[in-house]
Amino acid sequence: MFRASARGAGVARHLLLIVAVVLMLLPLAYALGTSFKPVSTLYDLNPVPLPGTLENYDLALTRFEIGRLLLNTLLMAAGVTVTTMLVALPAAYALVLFERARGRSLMVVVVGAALLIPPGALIIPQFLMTSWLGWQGNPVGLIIPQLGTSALAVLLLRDHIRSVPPSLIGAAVLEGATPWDILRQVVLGLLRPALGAVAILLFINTWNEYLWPLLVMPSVEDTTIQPGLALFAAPENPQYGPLLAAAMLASLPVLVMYVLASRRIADAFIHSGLR
Amino acid sequence: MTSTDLAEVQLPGTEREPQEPETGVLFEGVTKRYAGNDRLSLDLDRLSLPGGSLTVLVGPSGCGKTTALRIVSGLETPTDGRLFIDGADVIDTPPGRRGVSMVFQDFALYPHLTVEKNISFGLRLQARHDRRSGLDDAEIERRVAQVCGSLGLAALRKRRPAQLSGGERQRVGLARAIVRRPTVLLLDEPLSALDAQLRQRARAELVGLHRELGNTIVLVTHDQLEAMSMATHLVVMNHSKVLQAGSPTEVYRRPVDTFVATFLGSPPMNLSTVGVPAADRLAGPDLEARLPRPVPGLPSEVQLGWRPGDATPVRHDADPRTGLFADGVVELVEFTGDTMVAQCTSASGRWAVVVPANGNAPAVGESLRVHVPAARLHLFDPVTGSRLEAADAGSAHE
Amino acid sequence: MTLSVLSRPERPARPGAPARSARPRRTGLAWLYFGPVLISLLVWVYGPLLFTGVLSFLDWNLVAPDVAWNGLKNYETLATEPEFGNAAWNTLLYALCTLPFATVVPCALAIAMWKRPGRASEVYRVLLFLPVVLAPVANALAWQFMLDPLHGTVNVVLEAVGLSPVNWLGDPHTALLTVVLVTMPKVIALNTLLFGAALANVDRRTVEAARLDDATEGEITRRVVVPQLRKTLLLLGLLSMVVVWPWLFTNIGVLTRGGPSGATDNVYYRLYTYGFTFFDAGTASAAAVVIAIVFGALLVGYSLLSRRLRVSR
Repeated sequence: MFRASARGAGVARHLLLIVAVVLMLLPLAYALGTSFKPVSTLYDLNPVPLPGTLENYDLALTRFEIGRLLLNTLLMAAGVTVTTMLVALPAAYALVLFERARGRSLMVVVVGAALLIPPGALIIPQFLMTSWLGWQGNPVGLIIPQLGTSALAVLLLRDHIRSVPPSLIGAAVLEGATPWDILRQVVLGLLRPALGAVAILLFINTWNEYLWPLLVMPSVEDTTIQPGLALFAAPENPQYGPLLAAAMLASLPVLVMYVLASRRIADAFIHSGLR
Repeated sequence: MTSTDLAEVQLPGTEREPQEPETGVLFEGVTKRYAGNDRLSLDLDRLSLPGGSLTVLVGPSGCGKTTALRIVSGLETPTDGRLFIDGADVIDTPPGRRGVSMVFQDFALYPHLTVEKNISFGLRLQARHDRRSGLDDAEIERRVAQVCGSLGLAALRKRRPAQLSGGERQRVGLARAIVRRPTVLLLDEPLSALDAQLRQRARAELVGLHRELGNTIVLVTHDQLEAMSMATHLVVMNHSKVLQAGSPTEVYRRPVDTFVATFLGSPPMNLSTVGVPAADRLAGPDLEARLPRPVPGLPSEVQLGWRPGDATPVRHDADPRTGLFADGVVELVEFTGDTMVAQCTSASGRWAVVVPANGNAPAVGESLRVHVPAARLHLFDPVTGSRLEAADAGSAHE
Repeated sequence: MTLSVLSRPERPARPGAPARSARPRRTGLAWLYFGPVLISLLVWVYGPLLFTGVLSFLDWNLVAPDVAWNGLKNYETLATEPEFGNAAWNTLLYALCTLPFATVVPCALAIAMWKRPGRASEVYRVLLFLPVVLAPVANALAWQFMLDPLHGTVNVVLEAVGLSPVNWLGDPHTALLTVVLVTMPKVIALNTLLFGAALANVDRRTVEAARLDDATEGEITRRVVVPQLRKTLLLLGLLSMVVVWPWLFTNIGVLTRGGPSGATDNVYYRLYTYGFTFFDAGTASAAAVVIAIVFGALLVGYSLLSRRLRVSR
């Protein structure tokens, strides 16, 4: 009932989307299948593992000690997420609620400008400072310097806090609440899902961090999963079986989070992008 | 009134057959069901919108009027049924090819194009698709200029929609729709996005436009005042069905059921349930009516309706005559400029009466008696709400 | 009268007179709440920024205590060294190759999903978003596996079809493009999501109006939908130019380490090489300063461009 082109366009659309999905996810699908294959069939074209085996995963966990790396990554990601939220939330709150404080526009500039600096430009001094503080090879050095990325969290949280109806704040003020009370009772309570979204975003981004852990924790036992994987892959003839199994394990936690909360995560990324 | 007179009176629900049967819009057995719903959103047995009319589809939200409009446009396809525009079956014709144009509720102007590009968009596409259409740049410019002239948009041609007021945007939406010389022009709640001030003028402009263009216009609104003032043909809908179709006067004067009766007219028709002690008498608490002739076959109870504007206050000792006498106590008087509305309460419920503002204003708390002529009474079945036709014959209903 | 003008706003000039403002400024409290972020940014962002600037004029190897003032020599090195010139050129190539994947492809995908909302679109949406969250190194390794010159899936398929295998990552002619392709899924996925969000603000009725004007689907997309996304296209083009570099860096680091013979090197990787392979802090910092300046210039250019776009409406 529509123009003939409309039906053709519908087919074209599906084709486009299917091709995109296949091209973008094919390597991962292959990696997933291959991770379950024994060495003999490793390079077979067929991605489906027949017979399937868990020996790669076993190797990954025992020989490469992927479990340890995953744990380190978890600690780092959790640490960065928590510290960043602790630091960013009061700042975002100040930006919204203390409208008449002197120097507020300076605060906004400080945060905004920090976002505009290309991260690569800072890496050397950050590394130097970390090692001078004796934090190299130390989890503290892994976590604390990443507070430099808190600017994004501040702006995201500021947007969310702005969405709290001013009348609620006004009502609390009339009841004699102090700013601290308002932060704890009103804002935190209302913004739980938003805080969750920002936290998830921070966690995922930190989990995927490659360069900083590589610099701060160069030893293959103590480092996190991204550089760890890269280190295992470095030699001339990588053992793809256990390597890909390790790669799958590296993606697993985030994948699980995604399955549980894909809408929330997508919204969090949308929010950060539209900044 | 003799029975032959009765035959003259157009019974609501059927329209006069169009003089030229091949013009206008005809729905035959059209139904629409949306996925996941078990109710039909639209259920039309046979609805004919006369060619050259300004037809208004009116009804509460969800009654199916917008669905019907969109089916005419081709943007929705019916689950079942056939649709004819000027005699041609258009069910399989794509929306752009039916000779139909539409003005959307929020106008849907292309925000990135100027006014004149907005208006000429369809024409430019047509020129590209169809080399033989005779549409070259000069002709397109001619048509755009003409339309802009008649809608007062000449000065705004180079502006963008974001720079226009609501009324101006509406006119651009209209211009875009009529520049393609449509056979049928569809309007979806065209006045709802306008300020109250503008609405009056916009109504007059639309009616003037119809007179000028002469094509078939179908307009959808939920505002009964708009509907009655603009329509040459009025279609009242509710719950996916057509309840009544006809000229505004017909539908207003002889509503086919209590819904239509109370939907049209403001303040709405007063309704009370009354007993029927005799074939020519109706009685209820504080209500007494005498019909000029006995009406056979009345149930033991009927719903009696009368419009606030048809009632006049009378003295308590007024002469008895045919018609309704109602007693009540004034609760509230609303001043509406030229008239006043007295809301009264009585033993049979609340009712309203309209009195001219320069007369004696009824006072709150005053006890009031009003009279309604028998010809202006409406009787409805107490259970189904349908009009009791027999009563009209008996009371020289006009 | 003049006295009341000079009096401080918080306190009424006379008893009974209304306070000029009942809401306190709370400046101290605000800066207290802002403090931790302030300290973090000063220590880990602005301090290092200055430090980089200073370092760029020094000659130092990051460990030994002997530091010498090098003036502009580091910048000279950058300007004259062929490796940096190559890296700069490659950086431009990376940017140009990324742009279509950051704009055209995600826009098309987002529109395709938007036009027919429904179960299928939701499935596509979920699948297409995956590359954003998946571990970048895992992605790189999966690609490395498929692109293996001898056993990799891609080459096996090529041979089966009769074409000769390509050493994707080892051949200087294909290496850069290969790295780009490995990185693009993440760019496409993120931007598709963002275009989807922008499309939510496009009035679907304009599509319907165009249908009534007898436009083909292609015309509707090109003349009605895309023009309404102009600002987003510009924004996402720029956004990608900002966020893609760490992603590229990870893939270069894992897959090619800048090679073969500098074919996949870019200014960021060069910076890393100067600093952590050659331990030449000065030159590395000079590169950092150059990057920062070019970056700043791009941002200025963008804000000028977007202001002009807004004014011309």
